[in-house]
Amino acid sequence: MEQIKHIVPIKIEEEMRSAFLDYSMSVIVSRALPDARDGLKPVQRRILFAMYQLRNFHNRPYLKSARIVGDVLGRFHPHGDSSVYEALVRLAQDFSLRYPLIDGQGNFGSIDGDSAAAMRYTEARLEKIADLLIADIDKETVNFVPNYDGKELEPVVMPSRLPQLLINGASGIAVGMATNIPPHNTSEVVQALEALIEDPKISVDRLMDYVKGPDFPTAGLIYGITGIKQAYLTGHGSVIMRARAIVEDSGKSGRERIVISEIPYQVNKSRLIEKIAELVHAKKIEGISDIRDESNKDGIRVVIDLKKGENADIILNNLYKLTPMQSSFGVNVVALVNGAPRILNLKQLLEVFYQHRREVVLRRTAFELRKAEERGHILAGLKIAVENIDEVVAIIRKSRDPAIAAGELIAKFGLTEIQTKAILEMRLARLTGLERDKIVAEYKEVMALIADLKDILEKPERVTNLIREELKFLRENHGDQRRTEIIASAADEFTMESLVADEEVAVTISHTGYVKRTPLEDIRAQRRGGKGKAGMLTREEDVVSTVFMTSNHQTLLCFSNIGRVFELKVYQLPELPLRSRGKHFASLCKLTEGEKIVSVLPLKEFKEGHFIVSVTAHGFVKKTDLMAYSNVRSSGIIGLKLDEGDSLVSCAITDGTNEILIATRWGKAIRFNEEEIRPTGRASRGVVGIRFGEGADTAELSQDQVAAAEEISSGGLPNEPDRVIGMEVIRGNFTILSVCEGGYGKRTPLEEYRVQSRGGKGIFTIKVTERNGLVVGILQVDENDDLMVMTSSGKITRFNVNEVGVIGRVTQGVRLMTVETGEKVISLCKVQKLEGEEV
Amino acid sequence: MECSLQWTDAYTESFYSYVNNIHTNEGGTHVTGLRSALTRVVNQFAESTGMLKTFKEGITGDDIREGLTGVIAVKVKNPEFQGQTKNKLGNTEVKGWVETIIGEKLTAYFEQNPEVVRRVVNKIIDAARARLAAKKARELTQRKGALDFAGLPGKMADCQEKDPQQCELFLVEGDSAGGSAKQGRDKRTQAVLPLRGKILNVEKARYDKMLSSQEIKLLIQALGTGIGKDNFDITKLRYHKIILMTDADVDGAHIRTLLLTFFFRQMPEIIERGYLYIAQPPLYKYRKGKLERYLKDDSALLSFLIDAGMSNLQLRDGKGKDIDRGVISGLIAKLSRYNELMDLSTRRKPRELVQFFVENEDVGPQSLADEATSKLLVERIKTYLGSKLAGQRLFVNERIVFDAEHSRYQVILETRIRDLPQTSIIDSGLFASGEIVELRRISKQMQEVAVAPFTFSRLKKSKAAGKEQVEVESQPEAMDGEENKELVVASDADTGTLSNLYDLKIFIEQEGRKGAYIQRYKGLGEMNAEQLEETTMDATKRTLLNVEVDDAMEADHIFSTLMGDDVEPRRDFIQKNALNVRNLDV
Repeated sequence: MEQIKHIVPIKIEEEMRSAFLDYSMSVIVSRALPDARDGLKPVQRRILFAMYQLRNFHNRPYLKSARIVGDVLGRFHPHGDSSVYEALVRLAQDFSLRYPLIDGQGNFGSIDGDSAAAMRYTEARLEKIADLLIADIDKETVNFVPNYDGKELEPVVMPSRLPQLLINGASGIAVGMATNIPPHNTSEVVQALEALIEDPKISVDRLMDYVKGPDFPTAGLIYGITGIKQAYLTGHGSVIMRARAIVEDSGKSGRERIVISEIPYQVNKSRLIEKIAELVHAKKIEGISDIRDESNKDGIRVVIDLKKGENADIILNNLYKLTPMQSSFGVNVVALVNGAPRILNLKQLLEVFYQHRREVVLRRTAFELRKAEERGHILAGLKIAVENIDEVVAIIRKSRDPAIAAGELIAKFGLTEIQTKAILEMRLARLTGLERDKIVAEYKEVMALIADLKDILEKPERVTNLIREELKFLRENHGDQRRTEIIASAADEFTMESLVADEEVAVTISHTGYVKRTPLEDIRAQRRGGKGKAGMLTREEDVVSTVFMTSNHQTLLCFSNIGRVFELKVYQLPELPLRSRGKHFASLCKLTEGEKIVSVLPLKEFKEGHFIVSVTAHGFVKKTDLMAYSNVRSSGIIGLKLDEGDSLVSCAITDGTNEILIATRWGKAIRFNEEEIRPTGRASRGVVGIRFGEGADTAELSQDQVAAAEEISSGGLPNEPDRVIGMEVIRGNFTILSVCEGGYGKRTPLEEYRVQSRGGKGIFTIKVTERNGLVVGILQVDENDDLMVMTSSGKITRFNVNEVGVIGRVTQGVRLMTVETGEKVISLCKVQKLEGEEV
Repeated sequence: MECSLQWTDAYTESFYSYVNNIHTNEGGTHVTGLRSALTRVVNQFAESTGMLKTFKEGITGDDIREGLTGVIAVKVKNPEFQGQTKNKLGNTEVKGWVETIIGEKLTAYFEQNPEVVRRVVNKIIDAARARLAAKKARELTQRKGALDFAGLPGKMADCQEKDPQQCELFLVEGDSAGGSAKQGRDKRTQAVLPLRGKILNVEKARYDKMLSSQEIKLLIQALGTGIGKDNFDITKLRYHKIILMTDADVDGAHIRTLLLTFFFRQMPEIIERGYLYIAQPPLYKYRKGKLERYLKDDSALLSFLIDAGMSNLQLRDGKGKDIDRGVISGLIAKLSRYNELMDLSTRRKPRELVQFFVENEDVGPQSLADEATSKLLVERIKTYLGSKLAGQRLFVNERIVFDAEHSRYQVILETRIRDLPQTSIIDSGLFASGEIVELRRISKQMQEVAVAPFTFSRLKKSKAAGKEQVEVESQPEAMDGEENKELVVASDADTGTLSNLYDLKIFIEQEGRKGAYIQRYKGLGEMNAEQLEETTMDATKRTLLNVEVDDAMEADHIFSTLMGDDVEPRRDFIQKNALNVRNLDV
């Protein structure tokens, strides 16, 4: 043995490149990807071929699976036995293949994810349809190559009379690429092929008239055709599959149930049920009381019992969104064409198959012709012999040995060696009359056959017709009804509106910006349960400043102090009981540091002709079309432009004809019609709404008041500049309530506030004194309203407005509550009443 | 009470605590309260935001406090100080009080600042991961080698020698190969570690996941060096030759790439010092009579067969020149490439047509300049085909069309050769195609050496003596890995002719195979122990490849392209290097 002992250096880069390339090329072309012509991966082809050679046909007895697997392993597939058996099992499953190729006896697994029985228990044989895959394989129609050890020959591809790749699909993960092709309906595919043959220039769109979409063995539904269309045009696309579920009456009073009869392709039924149960347990889906799997051998039946009074459609939508009841099939049509992976569109797929069939038919014809010619040649010799039988016999009798006889015959009749051999081997019985006639007749037949076969080879049109007949046979014998229903309108994404019912809720917002919604149903229920008044959980510095009724599907426009606006849907707020604090705005909208929400406006819809009016601390008012805000997201956009140091104070919705009342810190107020504000764009600054005087304004005051005012300027009141503190849109003939920091306030009828022009200095709404303190808030109230006032130390006082006297405009007001030194009133709000009771 | 906290990028905790303005550097109940609150609130937020889903092992207080700087100052009415230096607060009520307040405030802050929460929790989870990974790495190093046998992996068969310079570790694929290797080795200096299945791709896996892989752990233990930048110690390496011995098939190649990735990324010093090797087990065994030969791979087998075939043949080329073994050896690579290209070109075209173009180099785009020249070309083709396929049924039909798109002429040739109809398009692009250009080049090179047709005569007469010179016919059969080669029948005649190089190579190869038994090894387990030993493991007989890094940047790029997370670069690599060679077809 001359093997030199050697250490050879090798670069790691080289080794990695070549080893990895070897591996990936092998996985791509001879493991994971199917051939575009017969739709089979190598292991599948080997299994079918081995079964063919074992004569394991549909009309013969079953063979033990272990026997088949052993044959495949030993002769063709030098890899693990489990991978071969698993491939075989899959070919036999009617929930995996739309047209199973193997007929299995025994436990071949289930849609619940059970595995098949071990191979020593199960038995298998080819299905009838598999015959069409293998037909003509012994007629030199496909190339054969040696197997891994050179001792056997195996086919490179199957003759494949049926378009297997399309009708059964394929999926595989190679290296750097993968394939995922859904199954289809035979009748549709055959029709598409027929159309392609008629018009080779046909477009993919027209082909889609025949191939409507995938057809899964597990039936179900497909939503939307855009994904299908894209997949057929480009080879990539996403197809949305849904389970078939109906809502029916469960018989028990008022209860409904959802019954699932079909599930999406490749979804494991028991895991689906588990997933639903998990979600119910984690309270991610509400309203389900029980799930039962009532499936039997006749079909799938999963029953989901719903609780009383639940909205079945909403629950169903949630199931589709959160569980595999709705799944998507990512189509990725990659198959081997000429030994290399290619992405194919629908037309290319059909074309490859058609060309392959043409080649197979031609090669088969060539083979048959050769055989016929060989037979014809012999028959020609026999014919000559029987026509000259006496001479032939004479020659033979005369000759000393067969070789000489042969030589003589050749010389005399111009025969060939093959012919003389056949003649010499003729049985004497062939010399009888009938037999002689038979020879002549067969000769004529064979000659006709030869002529026909030659004609087929000459004329391409004949090949086309043969293929047409094949397709017709396919359609008539193996075509079947479509199982998967395709719904043209796309389900697309689930809108939250379809997942959440439009219940009525109360939205509460706290002073520090915590917000939540509570279903009115729950509040009423709590009330009925005798729990009494359940107020909002109050903490230090944290009390409800706004409450309003709305419903889940409505929109909230939230304006922040720096002029940004966010849109939230009510259902985006956390649903919590009244006692909870809620979630901070910061976690719902992307607020920046120091940004707070100052106005929340509930909207049912964006109505044309309505406006948003806003007022800033520096007195600017802006009016913008409501429609301009219809495209806001929760990440916020600019709602208005602010000057340096300015901030947004309040916003409101108007209908174009309303009157506005603006109040300031130093007690001024101005009332004007909104028509005086020209509508401007969303990001504009607005115009002057109210102009400020220097500190306290003396214009309207009487002498005492002026003196009092001087008292102010000499000290006692904080020397802060005036700014807007509130705005009301006049909704009716209410009284205007003004409250000051000192705990004093008053009500004044609306008519005392005369309508002025925008931009003036306004008139007094309340007199600001050292005792009163500066103005904190202004509200329009009627006598039924209740009020809640909160101080800086967290003290809260509630009272009915009737307790607040109605007095003149330029007055100091009365004491509403006791305020300690150092303490001041910081906020007030109207208490929302629900059915006469306080929320 | 006042408290302020800040998380930084540092790795240590910096915390200062005060009671009634006295610095309590030993901490105390106030610090304990703070710590409990921190742990509780952080865990709560990590849980509720779902960030703990990716990290199930739980975060500890240490993880939370990594990089935390802060101050806490409490005012207590009647403080009790404990500890030696009286620097530790002992009031038990303070703990609960601090914990509640910090808990509330921190929760409120976190609620209002979700962005901060996310960043903090991420940082903490990273710290926890790093902690776990370091722990695993430490555990692996702690298993001492030689004396602590409980530490060595059970499957491994160690060697007797303790001096690493003399010791070799063979990494084999699976127990089947492991068995043969264990029996065939030299027990004194050679150890064997069988690796079950495909090991983890360390390029794609995170550090802590890698250390959870059973096979990787076994490997690290066997090597004895530990792992990680803090623990790896090359001086503790127990073997100065680490030899990768995987099966000779594609999955073996894959496992080899995975092992190389591990060593390159996690133990590069082993490669730098030249301790890493790749074994060369044979793929084939050739046996004819008493002669036994092991051959490494397909090309080695081919060389050998050609050699063997030539030993019984005398070849002459068309010019009467003798062709000897040396010449043939030189031509083998060219012949293989030639055949490869022929295979590609004849997928859709008849072989004789391709041969026409190869042999007639004067045919080019100018032959399609106008209708007249195109017609001439067709005539030449017909004549050529007629002569090559004399006696066989031949049908040729042509259409000459003008290709407006490229302003050239095209010949569409419909042929039926051997009853197989084919349609070939001959256009100027054909002459520029990679295959035709290269085929012509190789053909020319080979013609400088030898010219068809070739005559052969066997040196050792075969049994069927006295047969005349027969034209050796082609018949469909198949050969190793080559699709539908039209082969030369190994006729029994002692002399004959071969019309072209293509047939020549196949003929010689077949001659070499005559009377020989060739075994292809699918796995090392197929070899028995002695065979494995004498071909691959015996130090006096084997060939080893010593792994070295030539260009570190290039190597780094290759590993991240081939083994990394991104699919696109990998797919591009595959397409560029392999598919483009195979995919051309008109």
